[in-house]
Amino acid sequence: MAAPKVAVVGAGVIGLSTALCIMETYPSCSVTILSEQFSPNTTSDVAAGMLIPHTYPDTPIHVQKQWFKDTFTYLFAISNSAEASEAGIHLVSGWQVFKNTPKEELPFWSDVVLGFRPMSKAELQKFPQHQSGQAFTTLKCDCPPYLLWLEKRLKATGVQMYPRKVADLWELHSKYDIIVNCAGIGAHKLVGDKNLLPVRGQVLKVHAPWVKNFIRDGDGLTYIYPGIHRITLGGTREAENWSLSPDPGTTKDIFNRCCSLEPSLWGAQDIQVKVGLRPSRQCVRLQREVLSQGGVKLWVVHNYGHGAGGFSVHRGTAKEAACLVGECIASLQRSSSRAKL
Amino acid sequence: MRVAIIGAGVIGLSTALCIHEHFHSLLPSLQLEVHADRCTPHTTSDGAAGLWQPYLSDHGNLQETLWNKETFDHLLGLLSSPAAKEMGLFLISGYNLFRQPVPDPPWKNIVLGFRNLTPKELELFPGYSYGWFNTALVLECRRYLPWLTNRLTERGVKFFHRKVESFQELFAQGVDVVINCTGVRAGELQPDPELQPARGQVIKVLAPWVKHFIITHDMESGIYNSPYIIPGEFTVLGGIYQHGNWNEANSAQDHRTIWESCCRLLPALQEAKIVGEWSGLRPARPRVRLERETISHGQLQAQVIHNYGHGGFGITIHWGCAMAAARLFGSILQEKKLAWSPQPRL
Repeated sequence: MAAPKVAVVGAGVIGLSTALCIMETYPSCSVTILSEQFSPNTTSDVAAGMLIPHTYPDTPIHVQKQWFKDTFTYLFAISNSAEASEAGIHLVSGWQVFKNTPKEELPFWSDVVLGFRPMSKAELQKFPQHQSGQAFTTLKCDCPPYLLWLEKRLKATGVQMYPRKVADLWELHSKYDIIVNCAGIGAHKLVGDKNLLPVRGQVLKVHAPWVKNFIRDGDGLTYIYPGIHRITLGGTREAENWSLSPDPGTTKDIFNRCCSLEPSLWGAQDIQVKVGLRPSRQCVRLQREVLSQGGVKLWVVHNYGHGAGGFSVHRGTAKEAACLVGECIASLQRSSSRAKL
Repeated sequence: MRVAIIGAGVIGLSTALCIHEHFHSLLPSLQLEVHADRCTPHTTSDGAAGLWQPYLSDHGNLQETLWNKETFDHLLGLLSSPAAKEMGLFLISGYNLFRQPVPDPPWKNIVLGFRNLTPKELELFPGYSYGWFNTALVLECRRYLPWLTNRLTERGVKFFHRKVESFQELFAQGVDVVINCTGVRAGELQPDPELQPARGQVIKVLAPWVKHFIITHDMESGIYNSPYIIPGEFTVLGGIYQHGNWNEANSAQDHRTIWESCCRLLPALQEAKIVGEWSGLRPARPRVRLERETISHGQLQAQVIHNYGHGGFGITIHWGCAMAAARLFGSILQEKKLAWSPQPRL
């Protein structure tokens, strides 16, 4: 059988990293990326890209932990290399603070991030409204740099990328053997997944270069994440809100909440507002499927629904998706040899 | 009462502000003036990265540790104030790296969240097998000195851009008390064999992805003779400490030493754009000279308060020393019966 032709739908962090894993594992594949949006216009570009996992209710914890570990290890190596600044990967230390101390003492990822420990009384004095907290060091993927770096590596392996809105997977069956669905929020329409819903997030990207540490309220709603050039201030979690327009009242509210956590932010300049729709699901849809239509088969690998945790698990889920692509290739090879008989 | 401060680095300006804050209401006749031949951005303080961190050991000098603590606590208290940004003050976390285990430093409970590095963290720094992590502060003098100057000007303190040749010269003009904050050149006003320059050189780069300070230590070559990286408005790369070297010009060899060793520590620095280079002379002394001296001026006795010799920890210790100098000034006032109880709480 000729080199399998794979189409990856979606060019956010999931689509790009999945395509890269496929090329690394099955270099004989021909991979093409088709996406309605590319960086800087993907959902990933809105996110801060902090490696702090989101917990998926319906995925076993040990699986989520492995995904996070794979991702952290991969990015840790990049952050330690000469490519770190080009890839937009950097270490950042800070605090997660709680107004009400959570029941569980240690999150599942506490031994993956660096130097995780409870905050001292002296550190907590900086947060008079909070009772307890955790200090640790983690990684941040700045976008667009990280996505552009992935695109550069992909192009170097011969992967082609085309802006294209795919309305139906069957559009692709004549040219491609395997479709990898990394459409994120687009999967709601693309494959009619009613379990995939947006959780709208509005963020501010501001100029405040003196902020070197991250601060996150344990409620997940208020956070300050220092990037290379800008600080991401967040945010909101608005379930089933499809609006991509920034809301001025929300902007004010986010800014006030962040300034109350970090008063020096009152001096922040050049406030930019962005909105993204987290592609949320009870669990990441990471599975392969064979679609049939009029006797024709179409192999599909789904890798979408990462919600608030895309960056934290992207490499781990990309590797698993690449394995599933491998299984599809094996199935294709079996069908093609059977067809010869 | 005319008080002249000689020197407009971090020590001179902070001492001036501290004295004015505590005594101007008590002593309406108080006239403060600053005399300096170099002002920001040309002082030694301006070249420093501004990281609050004392040396690894205080050699039993508990007084200096207390002054360091006083400074840290004072700055920490200012972090949330609107002045912090204008002062160039911000919180920063980072790493101290060693090639062998070392005792904890005397400042471990002054900084925030002090702990040893985990094995995973040490993987980031090949060649270093032991280290510390903590959160401290940076106070950038390129912003702090202009801020201090503004506060002093608002308070009516006068500035004289000139070189003072002797204490006598000021007494002859009618100055009652001189505060000697002349740093590395104090020996020109009064010989002090214990005061020596400790030359440093730094390269300033654009590396905004670096969010931590990284200080390496080589126990054999001594303090600051091992690469360090300190983020701020620019990222400062350093690692030069040359005792006895008065040369303020940049050295190409030192540039290579700093650049190569820092790039080995953080390979991504190779992509950083160099935006400046600077050399300065740390005013090194076995201990800070902070004391009163009575100097004869004709028939009169004039008072000098010395506050110099802060080595590579001037910013770290400055406020504690300013307060101590202010207390010495208070004792001068008491003796002259110019101050009455209750004295300001110093």
